[in-house]
Amino acid sequence: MKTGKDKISVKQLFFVFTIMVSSPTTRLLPKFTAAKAEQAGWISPIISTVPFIMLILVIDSLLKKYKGQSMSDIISSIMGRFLGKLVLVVYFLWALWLTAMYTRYYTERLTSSIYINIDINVFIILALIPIAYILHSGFTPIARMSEILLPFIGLMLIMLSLFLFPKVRANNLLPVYINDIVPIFNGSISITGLLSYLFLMFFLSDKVVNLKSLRTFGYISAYVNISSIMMVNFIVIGVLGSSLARRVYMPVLTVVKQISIMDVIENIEAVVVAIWIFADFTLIATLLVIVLNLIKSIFNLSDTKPLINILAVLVYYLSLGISAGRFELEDFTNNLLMPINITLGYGFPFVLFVLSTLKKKEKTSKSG
Amino acid sequence: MRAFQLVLVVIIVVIADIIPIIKKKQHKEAAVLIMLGAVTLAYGYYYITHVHIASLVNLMFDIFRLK
Repeated sequence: MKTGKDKISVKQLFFVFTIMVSSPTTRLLPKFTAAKAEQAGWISPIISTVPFIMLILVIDSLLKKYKGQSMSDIISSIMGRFLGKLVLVVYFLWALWLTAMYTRYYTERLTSSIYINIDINVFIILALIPIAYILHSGFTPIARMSEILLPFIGLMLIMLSLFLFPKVRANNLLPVYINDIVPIFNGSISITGLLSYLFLMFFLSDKVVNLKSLRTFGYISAYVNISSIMMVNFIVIGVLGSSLARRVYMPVLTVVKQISIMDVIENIEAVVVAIWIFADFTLIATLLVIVLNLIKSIFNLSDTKPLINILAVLVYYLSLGISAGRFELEDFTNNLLMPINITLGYGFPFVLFVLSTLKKKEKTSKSG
Repeated sequence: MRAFQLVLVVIIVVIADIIPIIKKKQHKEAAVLIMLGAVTLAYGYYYITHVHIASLVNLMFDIFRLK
């Protein structure tokens, strides 16, 4: 699918989304699911399939009803000018919070894995300067970069799975009883919360062409994301066991460090960290573009490029001040962020869908 | 010293970005830019002066009364 200047295809949008999800997946999910569902944690992603597919259907229905409009315009059309702006401000704050939080997580991950004695300021500045520079060229370079990056992430996942499969122990993953259904459901909350970022992506829907194929690519994305999350959980819990997986800071990195093939291929965690850096780069850049698009909709601006630099400075201070340390940040992610994600990423779109249906019925009854 | 750095960076960024948009007569964009600059200055100053206790996460926990 060829796209115009500053326009991206639905396929590229889902590529970016998959990369966005891949970064928190490797950091957070195995820990969370192991803590909630223990040995059955690897089944939890299956539960998240249902709300995710429902979200895709809701977004598709909204975009079909309001053809050619961005999600911000759709919200304003359904909820009215004042309430619509209020909702957009809430989404702006959520997106800005996520940008600052993931910038901090990115630096915390680097300083606690391989660059232990380096000040976090260095990594934040080294991430934000190139992001601000690239964003002056629009969102298209990020989308195109994701087309190159995603196969590498997929390849990394397949390779790691192949190398680590012999170390997986069945007694770490089994038995799974019918009584485990509640823990499995609890374990799926974080996965459902992460997949809710799809709704945020559609604040960029004015930049996306060929939205007709949204449903098809949505189903493919659901399959790819759910199966890869399941694979990561399977390998981590299978190798480490649930009691260890929930206590280690970065279980994926701990598992990767165990790879040794005939004492020749070892220490491949550097490759994994390099791919994480690119994934985090895409995640932060995309969130910044969403923040800029929301500012554009709230204030009816014609251009947001002049705001990129000052927003990068604001994100720098927000990411420093968001928490005193990573334990506090993790506590927040596990206890408060996931309910917020689910409310804003699933709850509100469903409310919007119901309101749009009621409005349509009212219109038809008036005209009838 | 850190407050001085903050003010310097914000002023340089705002001035560098505001000149071209004023030339293009995009006054609304200029107003939003100044507003974001003011927010950055306010939060940056709060962070610098409360560096050991500033934590937005704790603020959120207080708002939702989880701790």
